[in-house]
Amino acid sequence: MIESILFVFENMPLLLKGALVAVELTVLSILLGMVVGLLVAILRLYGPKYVKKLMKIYEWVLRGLPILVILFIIYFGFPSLGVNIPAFISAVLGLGLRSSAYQAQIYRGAIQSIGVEQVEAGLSIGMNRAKTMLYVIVPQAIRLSLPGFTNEFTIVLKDSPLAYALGIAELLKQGRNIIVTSFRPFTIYLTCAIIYFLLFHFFYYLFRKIAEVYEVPGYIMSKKS
Amino acid sequence: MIRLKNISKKYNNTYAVKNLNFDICNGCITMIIGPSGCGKTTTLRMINRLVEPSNGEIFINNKNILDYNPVALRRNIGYVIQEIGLFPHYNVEENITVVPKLLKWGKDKIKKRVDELLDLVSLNPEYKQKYPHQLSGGEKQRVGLARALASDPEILLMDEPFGAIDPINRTKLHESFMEIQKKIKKTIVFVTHDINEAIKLGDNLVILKKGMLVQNGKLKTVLNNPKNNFVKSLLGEDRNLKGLVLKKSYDFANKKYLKIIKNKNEIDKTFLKKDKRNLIILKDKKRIKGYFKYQNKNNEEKIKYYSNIVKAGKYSNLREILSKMMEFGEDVAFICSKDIFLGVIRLADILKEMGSNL
Repeated sequence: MIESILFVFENMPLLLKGALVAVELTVLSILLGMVVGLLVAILRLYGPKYVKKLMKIYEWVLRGLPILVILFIIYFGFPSLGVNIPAFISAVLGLGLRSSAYQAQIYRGAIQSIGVEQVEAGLSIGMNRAKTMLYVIVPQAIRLSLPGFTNEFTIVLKDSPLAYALGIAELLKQGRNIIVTSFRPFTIYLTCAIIYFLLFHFFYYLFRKIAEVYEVPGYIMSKKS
Repeated sequence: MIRLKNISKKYNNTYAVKNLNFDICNGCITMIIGPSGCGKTTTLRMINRLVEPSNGEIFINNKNILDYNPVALRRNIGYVIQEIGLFPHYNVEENITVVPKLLKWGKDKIKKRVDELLDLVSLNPEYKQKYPHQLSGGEKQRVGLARALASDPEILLMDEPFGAIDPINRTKLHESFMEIQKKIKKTIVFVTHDINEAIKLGDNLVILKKGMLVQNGKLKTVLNNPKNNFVKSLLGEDRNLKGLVLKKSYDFANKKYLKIIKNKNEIDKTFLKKDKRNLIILKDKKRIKGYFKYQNKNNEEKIKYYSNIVKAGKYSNLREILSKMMEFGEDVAFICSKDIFLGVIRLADILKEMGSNL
């Protein structure tokens, strides 16, 4: 038992290095997904008719494909078209774009649930459309989308080991490397599981705290009920 | 003055509003009333260009509203809607100061204005830090009114602002609203479907039906001369009774046929016998304790003392007083303004007033 603990500690630097890569992958993918997702959400709500349709198809297709297939197309498929993308960037693109489809839905739902009355209230007191979006709709939409966003973040975190398939040295891959030389799969995989869980736990509570800090007294509660 | 000239609004070949022509005078409350779907909200929204008319022109102070920049136009027109209009993520102070901030007022000026407005709508300064979801319906409406008045616009548009509020609080809000209007004297266009509200608050009525103007004019004129059966039925069979709302007690309280005494021993029976209308009032310093009245039942003469009296304020209307009299089974009401006794109003006076409406 003690021996196992010492063994884990010995290999901890490598595992933590892998964990850091996993976090980098997750954060970058989520950021990409956020930028693209917001754009898709806004275009789907306010864009011209054909753009709306196009965005709907974008969401629909990305939600309908297995993530591993998306990653393989980007990393292994694109080079035959003459587009070579490094493994890490391919992983961020794959995870990020897939996430953008889900995040677009989260933001669109949040904006829609605010309702036209708020837009009208903004316009009626003499804000232009841009200011109404910026001061009235967006601040409320961010608050409303936080629970969904938190969930999406943890999903991307837990999908990050798929980057293993592209040969990226994230946590699972590092674990696998250790197992190859030590033949102790149970100990190492269990340790990986614990690290993933702790990361999940950390981010989940981080976002919950943020939600609490920015909670409007009485507002989110009444939306929940 | 706001002038609507041949205003029409078409949605997919059906007219929401058709060929409206009427004027809205400065400094008065104009009530737009009619059944649902009559185009009253559409009409209101065309004034601040939330809806653009398909035909016709609207003038504010003789200038076509199309010649104003819509954003600038709306900053000079306050708009109050049914509760949903407040921004839930802003506290009361932030909600009220949105417009002054857009207009880039100085901090001190904004702060002063918030205090003035909260005082005007009778909200305690503690409310500044509260959020809309922590307020009652009536409080939200007061904040909504304060926000609409923030930059001191000339015109105020109100779309059923008290519609979602319970009757008790609605009455309170009506009273504060009338007091506020006495101070600010804005040009108010008020949409309602409640005829009682329209009669209570309005100076002028604009009656719409299926997007068309049926009748407009001073409230009293419309009440006394309903143009057709539609207006008659809208006003109700009890329109004479409703007309009493316009009559304030201070115009009718009188001290004819009265004697005031301080002590029961001072009672003058011959004064009561002389005229059936005569009353002797027992008044102890400031408070009216009761009154004496001559009664002749089955040839049995009696001076009866009543201590269960109906009291009403200076600004009560005759309809309220009538309903109080009915409630207490009395035929005389005592009108006091704080501690000053202004006189009495008798059931007979009220009935006479109703008759004069006919």
